[in-house]
Amino acid sequence: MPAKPAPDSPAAPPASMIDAKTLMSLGSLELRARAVVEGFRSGLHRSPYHGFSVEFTEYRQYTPGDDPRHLDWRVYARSDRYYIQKFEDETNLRCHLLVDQSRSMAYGSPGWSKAAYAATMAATLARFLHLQGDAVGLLCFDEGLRDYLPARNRTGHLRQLMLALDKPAGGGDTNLIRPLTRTAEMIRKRGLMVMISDFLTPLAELERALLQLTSAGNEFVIFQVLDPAEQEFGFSTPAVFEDVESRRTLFIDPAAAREGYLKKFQAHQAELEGICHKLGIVRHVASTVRPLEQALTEFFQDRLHRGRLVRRTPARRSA
Amino acid sequence: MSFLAPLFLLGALAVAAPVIFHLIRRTTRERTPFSSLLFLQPDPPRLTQRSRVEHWLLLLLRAAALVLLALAFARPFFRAPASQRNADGATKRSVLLVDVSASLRRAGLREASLAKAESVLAKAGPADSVAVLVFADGVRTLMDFSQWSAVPPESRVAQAMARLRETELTWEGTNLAEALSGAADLLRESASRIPGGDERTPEGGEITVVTDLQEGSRLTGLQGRGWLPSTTLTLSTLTPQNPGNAGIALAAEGPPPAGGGIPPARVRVYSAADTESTQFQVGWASGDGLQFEGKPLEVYVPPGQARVVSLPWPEQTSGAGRILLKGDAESFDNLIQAVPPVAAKVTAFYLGSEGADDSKQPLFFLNRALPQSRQVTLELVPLPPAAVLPEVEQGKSAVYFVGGVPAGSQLEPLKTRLAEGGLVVMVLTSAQQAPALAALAGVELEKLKLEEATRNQYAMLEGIDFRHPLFAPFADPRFSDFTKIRFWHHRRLDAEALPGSRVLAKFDSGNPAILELPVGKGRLVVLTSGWHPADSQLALSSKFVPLIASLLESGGVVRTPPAWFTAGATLTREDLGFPGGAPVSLTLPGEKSVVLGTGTPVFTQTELPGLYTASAAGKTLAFAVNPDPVESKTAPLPVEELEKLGVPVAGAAATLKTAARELTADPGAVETEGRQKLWRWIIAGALCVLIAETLLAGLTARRATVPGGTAV
Repeated sequence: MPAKPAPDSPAAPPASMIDAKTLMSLGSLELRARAVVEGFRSGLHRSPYHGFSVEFTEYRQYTPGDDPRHLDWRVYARSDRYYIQKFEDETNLRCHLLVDQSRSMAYGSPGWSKAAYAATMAATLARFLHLQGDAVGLLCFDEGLRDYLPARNRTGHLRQLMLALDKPAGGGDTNLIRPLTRTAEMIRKRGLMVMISDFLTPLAELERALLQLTSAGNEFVIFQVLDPAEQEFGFSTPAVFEDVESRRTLFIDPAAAREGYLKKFQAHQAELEGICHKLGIVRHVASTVRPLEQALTEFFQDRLHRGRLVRRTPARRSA
Repeated sequence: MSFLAPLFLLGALAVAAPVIFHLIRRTTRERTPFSSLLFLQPDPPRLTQRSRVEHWLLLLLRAAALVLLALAFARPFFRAPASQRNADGATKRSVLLVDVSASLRRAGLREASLAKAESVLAKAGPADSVAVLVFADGVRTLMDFSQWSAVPPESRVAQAMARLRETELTWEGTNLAEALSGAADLLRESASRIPGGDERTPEGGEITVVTDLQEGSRLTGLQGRGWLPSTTLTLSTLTPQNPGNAGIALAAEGPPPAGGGIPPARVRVYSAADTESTQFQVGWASGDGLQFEGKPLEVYVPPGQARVVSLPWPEQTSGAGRILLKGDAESFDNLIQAVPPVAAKVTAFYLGSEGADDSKQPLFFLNRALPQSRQVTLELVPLPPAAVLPEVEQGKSAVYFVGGVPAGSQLEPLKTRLAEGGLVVMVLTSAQQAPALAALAGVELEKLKLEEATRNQYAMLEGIDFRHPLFAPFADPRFSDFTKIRFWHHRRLDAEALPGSRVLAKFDSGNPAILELPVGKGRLVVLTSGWHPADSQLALSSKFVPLIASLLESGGVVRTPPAWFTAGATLTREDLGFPGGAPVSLTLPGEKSVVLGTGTPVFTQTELPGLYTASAAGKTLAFAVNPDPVESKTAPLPVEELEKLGVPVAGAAATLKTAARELTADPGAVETEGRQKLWRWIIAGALCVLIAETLLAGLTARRATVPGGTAV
């Protein structure tokens, strides 16, 4: 297991991981997700956290007080013991992926956009959880909600998720508040919520909107996808900079503006971190040049440490 | 430094373009998309010191390239001082051609021509070589390059102008082709001969023509003529005071009047295309040539057209008359001389025993085939063997046809006539004519071996010599088919037995059919078959009459001189009507007399129009000399006609006028510039600057490249 890299540092990824450039050069989102998941899963099997899947069980012995409707009579016929057949959705994780598809996500300096990176990340998570048997839902948003797929674990559901994620970004401006409020209204069942966005927007009301979701008992995780140019502002030529969302233009001399930019950017990041910390939200910063596996491994390790991730081996429903 | 085309220097103003583009570029930079301007503050544009230096260098390079290009197009050259130019021998050679044709006799043209010639001559520098030529139908050199150089520079123009003023206008036509060729030849020949001339002396030169450039100028011979590379032709065209002109010329004679007498004179009235009037009067002129004698004919001639009118001779004619035209402003071609035609009298003797009415014999057909025309009066005299050969009258020609066996008494005079230049046609109708043929040809009878050809089939003519004057009229393929004429009988004659003879046609058996043998001054023509039906179909064919006419013409029997010539024409003795070498005394207009000596074959003193008489041996013939009729065509000739013929006319095309003026303003500058060719070096420099600019721009662009993001 490689050492845990600093969240913002683009340290050299382990050789076994697919680098971001190779991954993003794959045309199909589904293929990208499959590639990452395969690597990720094999990585898991090689990891010291190998034995968690034994915790998984579909049956448990009947104890007085259980609903006798759930008794499995066929097992009783074979073994003369009472077993309770547990419903999948009772035991499985419900995960909702909130993916930002605003125009600012369409920016990308390394040759691929933040939106593509975010979509791959969401697709990978969805596939992984789907294979585990968890129910995965999707909410795509820009100014408002664009697409909504409820959390399910059906055949063909993953395919629909992929199609929704494959839609190009660039619908409208980023507005985090309205989609979050709407999500809180729509999703009543508790579960895991993974929000993938650049969060490059004023954070004034973000705390209140997030509070609605966390207070409802949801576990909330944030992936902040950032372009290296946004993190470092490595421009050198004076130029007219155009905001890809508002189309506003500004003449900027990077040599002079870099310092102010980084200062403000760090302040923004600190503010976001403060909100997350206050609400108990886990925040991961994912640079688009980092290998996706690395970011996800980091995520899973973090959940492991917190002891809240339910790991299961992928299994089919028993007949 | 001087410039050949200084206007191109204005192109250097384009230097402003890079500066303007540079300024525009500062305000309209490329846009860099960025995800959010949330953390950015507006920043006024600032240029770093480093980028400013780089851009200034680029700007300077681009400006330098533009300035160099403008400089190259302006064709710069270093002008050498005048003394140095003379020492270099880079002199200008020019030929001045001055028109002295009859059309220059129009009002005001002579003075204008002299003034223009003087202005052209005055432009010549002291080192330049000039030749002055006058031309009409021919070219005459008044002053060649060496004569020009021999005269002190200050008096050259005066001397040349004095010679020009001495030269009188002629009555001749305008042969512009010969004049231009003559001038070009003069330039070519003298290229290596002019004083101070060396290898650097240009081969060509400038030809300036002072002419009225009228439509009647002859241009034949200019097509395909090669011109030296640097030869230019400048036309100094004279404009007449009175536009338009009408002129008269004698046309071919008309038929004689019904009652006999002299056929009327036929006059061709031509009106130039720019003539305003259309009504003219033509009539016989009075003694002073200014008024009509009798009533003139009214003639309507539209501009650019011609009409032919018949003018009956006055009743009391003295043998010559002058015809006057009135109705146009220019009178130089309004009076012409006419001489009544004189018919040549020819006697044809036929030596044979047959009767004139015997339709089976040659005489019968000859009598009907002899050509009778207005120019020729032919008389056929049959001479039986017993008859004495009569003397030919003075001024008459004679031809002898021998169809039978002539008597010995006839043979001797015949031989004499033949030796003196007569034409004898021996028609061999039988082998018995061999002694007569041998006697006339001057060969031994034994060698002649004349015998009847034995053939089962008819014979046809072949191997006809169409180059001979006898058959030349039949040379056209439409008339050259003689295969329809069949010869039943002919006599076999060995051409080698007649030394010096020429076979003009032979039979398909190979035997000669028609031979020609020069004997003394005369000619003996031998036909080995008769034309009468017993021998052949020749007399009945359509070829017979033209063949007899051609026989008489080619033998010089019926040649008649034309009644008039153009001024300046060169006349042979035949033209005058006095062949042979005898002295001929001629009377020119103005009662001047000259004698054409024994050894002189041609008469050239035909400059003046009017009545000429030639007399020798008691015979007197009159002929007229008139101005060249083409001189009446005074409409301006388009310069494009000359250009079409490849003549290097300078400044003719309107589009090239400016450039031509610039280039011809100082031909010395053109030559100097052409030698120095500084523009090549400047263009090379401009290319180097452009390469440096490209490299620098590429370097700057590479340095300026940053990992700028793009909206994907």
